[in-house]
Amino acid sequence: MNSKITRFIGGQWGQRALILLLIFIVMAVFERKFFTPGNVSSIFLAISVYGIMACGMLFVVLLGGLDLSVGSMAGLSAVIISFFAKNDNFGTGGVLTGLLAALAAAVVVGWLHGVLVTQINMPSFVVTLATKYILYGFMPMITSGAFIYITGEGLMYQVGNAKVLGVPMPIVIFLVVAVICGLILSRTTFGRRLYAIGGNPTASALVGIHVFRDTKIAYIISCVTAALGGMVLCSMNMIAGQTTGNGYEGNVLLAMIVGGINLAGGEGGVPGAVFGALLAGIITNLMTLLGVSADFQKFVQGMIILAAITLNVYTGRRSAGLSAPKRRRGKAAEESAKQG
Amino acid sequence: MKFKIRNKTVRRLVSIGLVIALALFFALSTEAFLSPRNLFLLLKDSAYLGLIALGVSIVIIGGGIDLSGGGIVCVVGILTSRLTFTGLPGIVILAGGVILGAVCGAANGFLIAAVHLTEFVATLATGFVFTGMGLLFAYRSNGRISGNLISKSITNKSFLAMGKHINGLYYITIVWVAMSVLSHFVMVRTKFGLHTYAMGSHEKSAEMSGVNVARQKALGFVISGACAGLASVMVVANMGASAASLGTGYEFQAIAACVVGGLVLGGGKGDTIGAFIGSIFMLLVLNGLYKFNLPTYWQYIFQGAIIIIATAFDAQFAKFAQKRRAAESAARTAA
Amino acid sequence: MEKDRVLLRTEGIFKQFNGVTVLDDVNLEIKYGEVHALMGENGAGKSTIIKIITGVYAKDGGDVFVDGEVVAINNRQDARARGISVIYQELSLVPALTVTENIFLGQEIEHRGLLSKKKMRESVRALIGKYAFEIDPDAVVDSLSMAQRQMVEILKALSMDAKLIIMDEPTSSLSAAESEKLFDTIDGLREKGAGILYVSHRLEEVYRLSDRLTVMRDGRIVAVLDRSEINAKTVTTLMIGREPRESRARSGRDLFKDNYLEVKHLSYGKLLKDVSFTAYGGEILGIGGLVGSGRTELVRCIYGAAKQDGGEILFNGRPVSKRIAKNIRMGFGLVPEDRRVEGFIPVQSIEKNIAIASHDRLSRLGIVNARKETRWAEDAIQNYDIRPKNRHMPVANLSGGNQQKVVLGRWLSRDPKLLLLDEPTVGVDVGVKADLYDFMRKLAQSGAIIIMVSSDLFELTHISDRILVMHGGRFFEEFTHDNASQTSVLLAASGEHTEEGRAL
Repeated sequence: MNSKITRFIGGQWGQRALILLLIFIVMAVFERKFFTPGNVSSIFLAISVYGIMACGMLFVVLLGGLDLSVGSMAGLSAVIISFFAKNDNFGTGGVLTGLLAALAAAVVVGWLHGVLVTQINMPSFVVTLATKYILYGFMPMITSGAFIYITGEGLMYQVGNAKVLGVPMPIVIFLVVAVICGLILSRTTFGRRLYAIGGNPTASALVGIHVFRDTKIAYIISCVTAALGGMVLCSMNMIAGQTTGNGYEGNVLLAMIVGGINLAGGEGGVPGAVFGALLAGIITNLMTLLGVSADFQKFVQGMIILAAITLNVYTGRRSAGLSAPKRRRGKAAEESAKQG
Repeated sequence: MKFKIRNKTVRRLVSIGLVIALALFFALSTEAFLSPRNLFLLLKDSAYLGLIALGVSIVIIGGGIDLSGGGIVCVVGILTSRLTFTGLPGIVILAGGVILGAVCGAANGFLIAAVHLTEFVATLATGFVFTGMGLLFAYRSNGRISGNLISKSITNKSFLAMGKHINGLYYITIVWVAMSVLSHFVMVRTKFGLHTYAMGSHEKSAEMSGVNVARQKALGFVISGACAGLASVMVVANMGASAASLGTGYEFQAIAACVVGGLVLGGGKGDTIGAFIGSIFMLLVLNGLYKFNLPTYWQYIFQGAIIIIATAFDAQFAKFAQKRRAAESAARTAA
Repeated sequence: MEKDRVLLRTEGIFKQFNGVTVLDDVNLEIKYGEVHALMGENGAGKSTIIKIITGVYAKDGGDVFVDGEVVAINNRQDARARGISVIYQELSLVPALTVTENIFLGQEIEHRGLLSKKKMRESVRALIGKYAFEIDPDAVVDSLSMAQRQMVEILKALSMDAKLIIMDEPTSSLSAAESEKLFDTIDGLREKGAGILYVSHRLEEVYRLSDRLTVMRDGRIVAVLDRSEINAKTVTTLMIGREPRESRARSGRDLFKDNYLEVKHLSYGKLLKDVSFTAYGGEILGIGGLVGSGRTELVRCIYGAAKQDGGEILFNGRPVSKRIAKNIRMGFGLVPEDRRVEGFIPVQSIEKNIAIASHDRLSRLGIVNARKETRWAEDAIQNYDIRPKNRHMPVANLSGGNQQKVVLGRWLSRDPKLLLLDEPTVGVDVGVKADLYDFMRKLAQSGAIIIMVSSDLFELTHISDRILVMHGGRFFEEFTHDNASQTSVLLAASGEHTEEGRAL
């Protein structure tokens, strides 16, 4: 019993709880505004968008890849949905058509990522960095450079602002996405295969896994959740335009890294991604409260990413962020040990 | 008769061909394109991107990637613009900017060669950090961090002189060409260059042969940072002010320029001349978009598409080159 | 460099790894102008002694003499300074650089900070001329054949004034014609007075090249033979030692004629040429042969992991699919050669590693039945005695033997009809080895076909009911359990016909 508690405190979740506790103490002392109901709910709203996107990007990160296009994908999806919704005067039909169109776009983009990463063997960060710009460039074609304001109280408004049993809709959507993604990863054969591919693609292929097919599906999932995140985001802000989703890939990447997801693939799960999103949301909120400008927040983001991956390398618990040559050297050492 | 073209030459001809085709197209379709003024301006803008791409190309040859170029341009630009108000001579500020860029590059080099972080994650994050640092130092309306950014016109004459031109030819273009020639010379004729190619082509073999891989990697990032710093100072001198948005997206354009010019992500292939040609190509595209009154968003689509197409092309080209070699060696054994 | 003078001598070299003696009183002697071959089975200590001579490992006792003086060699640089160079199996060349650049990489000639390309090229040219190599100093290494690359490696060694060149299985990736070129090169080196230590498994190369031959067994030198004394029978007998024939178990299993695999005229690149055989349920079919003889490719083609160029593979009369997943459902299983790279998923638990191939039985409509999965893994851990008995343990943390039990258990728990094993016991300790053999026998008894590729002659001759020995991409001889001896299998693998074997 006692050992169970010590194991919890010493383990990953204990550390996560400790980090959160520390932040709360610091906030309680320095920034009382943090605990106002309004602020707490705004944190959760921010987290819900990061969280939805992080849950999907997790599928790609588990394969050892990265999806830097999620911010632009969210933005593109937001403008597509708003565009269709507006043409229908924000009626349900228009929203649903828009959602379908956005999801279709996400599937196409995700599939394209998958093809380029598997068949052409391009590094995933190059592919997704390129599509990040491409998708960003497509957005003004739909908006004609103007912002689309969401009006009325229809479905488009409800997605971001309604409450279910007192819980804001975005959080409900986030929880639903997290549960679905968690179940896919932990309960389905597809989830099992993803972890296997991330851990050792060669061995996976030899137990009959279609590595290319599953990789493509993972990239599609990442884009689909990004599209959902974009819809929630624009509905919450009641506006969609060129800046929607801009730079969100940084927050999601931050969530991955502080959530302890191994960037080399094969390790991590939805709880880690959710925790990471929580932390990323709190950090962003904190900076806003402290009056840090949006651009300067990137600085903090960058520092936290660097600190977290460095910490991961040095605690040696996981190989997150470790560069390839070092890993190779590690393998060579193992081999010589094996011979000996 | 034996007629032999090396694969490398074929790839070079492809990128030069692209530039010429694009230039011809613009020359025929727009009147103003061939005017000396337009060409000089084009070369000026290419130089800005080209200097950054030059540094990035050395990192890419060594098998790495540098996504922090934009951030370095931002922090160096803002700091140098502040420095101009101290009244220091322009050349000193220039040196300061280059050194600051090199220091930023050294930070990258340290994280990658000593802490062993993955290159793209580390430089993506340092890119954020550098941009943020730049904004921290930027002029603000009320002096507080949360104040609105403002830009102040630079008045330092000796500094502004660096942004000028002689008979239309901008100094930055001259610096760019000189740097390109110098760096090509360094990459081809010195141990540093040889070791960079060796490391990019096969890191383990290079290490076994006595190449100091860690130092080589770190040096690559320092050079890349210094080049970005130089580009930043020159462009601030030309504009007469610095902006918070300085450098945004340039890390990406630089990579696009490199891959168009035949540098292969993964290392060991292509050269700094490729970055030179690629930069001109990128600016021709951007220039053309402007000339045809296409909305600016097209540049994002083009940049992304160029990277994907160029990388995919090189993957196919490598297969083709392999086949050619196989055919050649088969012919040799037959003979 | 006068000939016949002793170049390198080791005296009483002793080495232990974790308390296990791997080299004991090794006295090796190599002279100037001789090609000295070193032979021995896997694990005899050949690579360990080379690593001690070249400073990769530290010795635990004994001395190394170069030119009659005791020398301390603590790292590769020391070895190089003493004129000792190794040509590795995996070449250490940089593909994008030219021959000259590669040769001088790390020791460039510079003039005022610039590379003296001309000087380096001339020096390479002089070297090429001296040894009459056919190679262009300006050619990019990427465009060279494997044999030419080996020449570049040799040139690199010579450019560092190597007196002793150590070659470890240099022909393993060369074609016959390329090997012949390499042998000419080695002859040239010998002419010029260099000493060559030539490690090989191939007898024909040793006849062709060597002046003397040292045979190692179990960490000791068992014989040093002069050229005139070298013949296949003597060498193989020395390598294997006395064979304990009596301890062999009788096979005597019935064949299950309704479960069979037919391979007809299979060809795969240059590695498999017109290979045909039939294997029946109930038998353990051993496949022998040297590394690179096409054994691995054979099992991979059967499994669907490699696509054959020609020929047919029939399982119970039906053609085998090209898709691994389909074959697994038909009852196939593969224990690959390098378990670390191809066998298991290191970060994942024993449970996940075992269950990963059986989701067709542990899930419905893509949903995994976690309870079934756990029971499946627990059963495997019990049945195959995998330790520690903790299904959550990452496989990376297990011993080599238990890792192999996980990989094998993955298939055994499915009751496979055809199990392909590629070097199943490399790096596995003795106790676990016995367990693995036991599992294989039981599986065969239940009617499965077992095809086992192995370099371990003891394993091959004791476990297999029938042995097919490959040589140069073809089946060379066939042995039965009763007439196979380690010596004869080794002879056949080297391309020598034996009395016991049936020529194919």
